[in-house]
Amino acid sequence: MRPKTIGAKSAYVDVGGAPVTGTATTEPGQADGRSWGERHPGTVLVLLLAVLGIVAFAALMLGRYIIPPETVVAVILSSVLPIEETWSSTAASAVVNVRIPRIIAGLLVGAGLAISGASFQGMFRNPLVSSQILGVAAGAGFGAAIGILLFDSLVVVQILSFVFGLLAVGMAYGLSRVRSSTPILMLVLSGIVIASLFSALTSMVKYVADPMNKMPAIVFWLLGSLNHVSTPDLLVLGPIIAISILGLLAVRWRINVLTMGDEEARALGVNTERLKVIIILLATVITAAAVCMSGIIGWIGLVIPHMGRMLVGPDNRYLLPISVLLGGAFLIAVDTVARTAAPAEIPIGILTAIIGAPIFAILLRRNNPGW
Amino acid sequence: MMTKTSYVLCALIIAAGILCCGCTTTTPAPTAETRTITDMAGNQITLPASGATFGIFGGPISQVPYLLGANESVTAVTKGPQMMEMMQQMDPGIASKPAPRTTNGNVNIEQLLVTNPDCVIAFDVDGEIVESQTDIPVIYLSGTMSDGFKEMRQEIVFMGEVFQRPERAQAYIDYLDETLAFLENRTADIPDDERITVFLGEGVSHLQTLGGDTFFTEWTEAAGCRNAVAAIETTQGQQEGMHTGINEVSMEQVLAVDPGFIIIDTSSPAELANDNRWKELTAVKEGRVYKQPTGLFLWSRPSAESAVLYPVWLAYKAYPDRFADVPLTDRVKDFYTEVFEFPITDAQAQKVIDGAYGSVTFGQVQQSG
Repeated sequence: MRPKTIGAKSAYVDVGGAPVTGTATTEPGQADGRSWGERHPGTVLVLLLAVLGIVAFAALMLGRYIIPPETVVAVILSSVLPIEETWSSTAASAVVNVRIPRIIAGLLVGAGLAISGASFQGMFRNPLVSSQILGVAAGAGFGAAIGILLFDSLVVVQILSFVFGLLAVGMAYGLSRVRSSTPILMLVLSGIVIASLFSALTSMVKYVADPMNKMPAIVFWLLGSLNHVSTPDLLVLGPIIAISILGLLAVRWRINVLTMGDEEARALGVNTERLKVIIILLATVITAAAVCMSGIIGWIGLVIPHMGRMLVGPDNRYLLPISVLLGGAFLIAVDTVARTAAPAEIPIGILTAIIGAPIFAILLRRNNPGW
Repeated sequence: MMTKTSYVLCALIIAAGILCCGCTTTTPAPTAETRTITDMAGNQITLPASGATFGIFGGPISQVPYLLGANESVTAVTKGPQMMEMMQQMDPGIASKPAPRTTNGNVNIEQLLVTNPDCVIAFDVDGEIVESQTDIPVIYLSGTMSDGFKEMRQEIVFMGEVFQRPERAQAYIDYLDETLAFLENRTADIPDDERITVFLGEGVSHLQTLGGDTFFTEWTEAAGCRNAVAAIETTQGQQEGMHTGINEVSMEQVLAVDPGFIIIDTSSPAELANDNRWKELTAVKEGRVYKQPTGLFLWSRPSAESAVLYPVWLAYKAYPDRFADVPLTDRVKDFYTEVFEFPITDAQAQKVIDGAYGSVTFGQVQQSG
C-alpha cells in the first residue's frame, strides 16, 4: 500500500539476521527517526515479559470462586512443597483444574493469534489482514457447527473444527495456485471466497439445525470463550500451538525478506513459495487449534501486531516475539474481565472488539509507524 | 399497436384481477358469521365464527392446539416442534404440514401465503414480520422466558378462547394446579437449607443456563428444589436467532454455587464424572447428574408440557423417597393421556424420562442435546 515506506524501513533491516540495535551504538537520538522502543527492542521485550507475568499473576488471584490469594499460592506450592491442606478440595480444583488451564489457554491462544496475524501481515504486506484471511476461522466454525448438529460429543466437535479449519485453508491455497506460484492477491481473494463459502455453510447448518436446541450451542461456540478449556484440551492442543509459535519465531527474519516482495526475496536466495507454505501452515494450525479450544475470538490477530509495531517498529525479528507477549497478556487480561466482571460470562468476542476497535482507530489516526 | 403478446398479457392481467377479487370475497365481513378476539397485545381480530384456520409461530406454543384438541385447524406450523420425534409420533401428519417459520424472526412469507391461514398466532418478532408483509391478521401472544405458571395459565385460557375450546383449556389448568398442589404437599416440610440446589447446564460446555429471572426458577421451586443460579439474571441481552434467557456462566461460578443436582442436555453424566473440573462438585460425587427429559418439545422452555412434567420429574429424581408410591412412568403416561389424549406406552414414558427422545434432522433421529 505504501511501498516507499516499506522500502525505507526495510533498508535498515539487516537481512542476514544480525541485530540492528547492536550496530546503532552512536545513539544519534532522533537522527534516524526511530523511537526509543525501536532502538531498544530487547528492553521492551523484557518489560513486556514482566507485564505478562503481572497480568497472569493477577488473573490467578481473581475469579467468581472467591479464594484468598495466600490460599491460591499455597495450593500451587503444595504440589512441590509439603504444605498442610487447609483448603477444600473444590478450592484446589478451582485453581488447578479451572483457573490455571484457562490462563495458560489465554496465553497460548492470545500469543498464537497475535503471532499468526503479525506473520500474515508481513507476508501479505498488508496491515489489514489477520490469520483468518484464508478462511481458517470460517472453516473451523463450520466444522464445529456440524459437529454440534450431528454429534453429541465435545471431542468430535473439536476434531471436526480443527479438520475443517485446515481444509478451508487448503482449499484457499489450492485455489490461489497459478503455475506453481501463489500470488498474494490470488491468496487474499481465494481466502475471501472460501471464507464466505464456509460462512454460508455455517448459516445453512444454523438454518437446518434443530433451531431450539442446537442453535444456542452453535451460537455460543461461534461467539468464542475460554470458558470451556479443560486440562485434556490443553495437553493435546497446547503443544501444537506452542510448537507452531516457535516455528514462526524461527522463520521471523525471513518474513522481513518477504516484505520486500517476491522478486527481491527470490533474488536474495529465499525460496518464497516454500516460506509462504510454512508460514500459512503454522499460522493456520495455530488458529485452527485456537478455535477448537476457544471458538472464534476476533481482533487479536489484527490489533496486537499493530500495538507491537508502535512499540518496536516493523522489524519482524522483534515484532513477532513482542506480539507473542502482548497477545498473551492482552487475552489473559480481557478473559479475566470476561469471567469476573459479571455473574454471567461476558462473551470475549464482544470485549476484544470493544477494546480492539478504539485502539485500532487510534492507530489509524496516528502517524503511521510503517509496517 | 397491440401485438398478440400484449393481448395475451392483458388477458392474463384481467384473469389475475378476477382471481384476486375471488380471494377478497372470502374475507369475512363483520356479520353474525364472524367473531372478534382481543389478543394479548390488545388488538381486535375478526375471525370466521367457525372453521377458522391458523398458522402457529413459536416453539413451545405449538403443542397447545393439540392440548385443546384443535390441531386440525392448524395449517401452517413451526419447524422446531415439527421436527420433534415424539411430536411426530403423536401426529404423523405434522411432518407434511408447511412450516414457514423456522427460528425466531425467520418467516418464509411465500410459503405462508401459499398456505394462507385465516390468521397467524405469533409473538412480537414473527408477528410484526407477518403483519408488515402480508394481509393475514396476526393474533399476538405475549410471552418471555421470565413467564411462570401464572402467565402459562393466562396463555392457555387465551388459546382456549381462540380455538373455541375453553373447557379443554380449563382441564389443563386443573391438571396443572392439581400437580403443583400434589408436589407442594409432598415437599412442603423440607427445610429451606435441605432443599436441593439444581443447576441446568446446557450445551457442549454444560455451562449455558437459565437464571433467577427465568421460568426455570419457578419450575424448580415447584419441585421443592432451588435454582442454583437464582442470584444470576440471564434474560438480559439477546443473541441472534436465539431465545433470551439462556446465558453462559463461568466454570468457577458453578464451583462456587456447588449444586446438589445437575441437569445436562448434551453428552452423558459419565462425561462430568471423568472431567476433573466437574468431579469435585457435590452433584457429581453423589451421582446426581441427569440428562434433561425431552417430549413433545424441549423441556427447558416454558411450555404446557414442561410446566407440569418438569417439576414432577425433578421432584421424583431429587426426593425419590417421597414419591415411592406411584411410579414416575405412570405419572408421565397419565399426563399425555389426560391432557393430550395421546396414550403412550411404558417404553415411551421411559424414553421421555431418560431424555432419549430427539428431533428428526435430515430424516434421521438426532439425540436431543
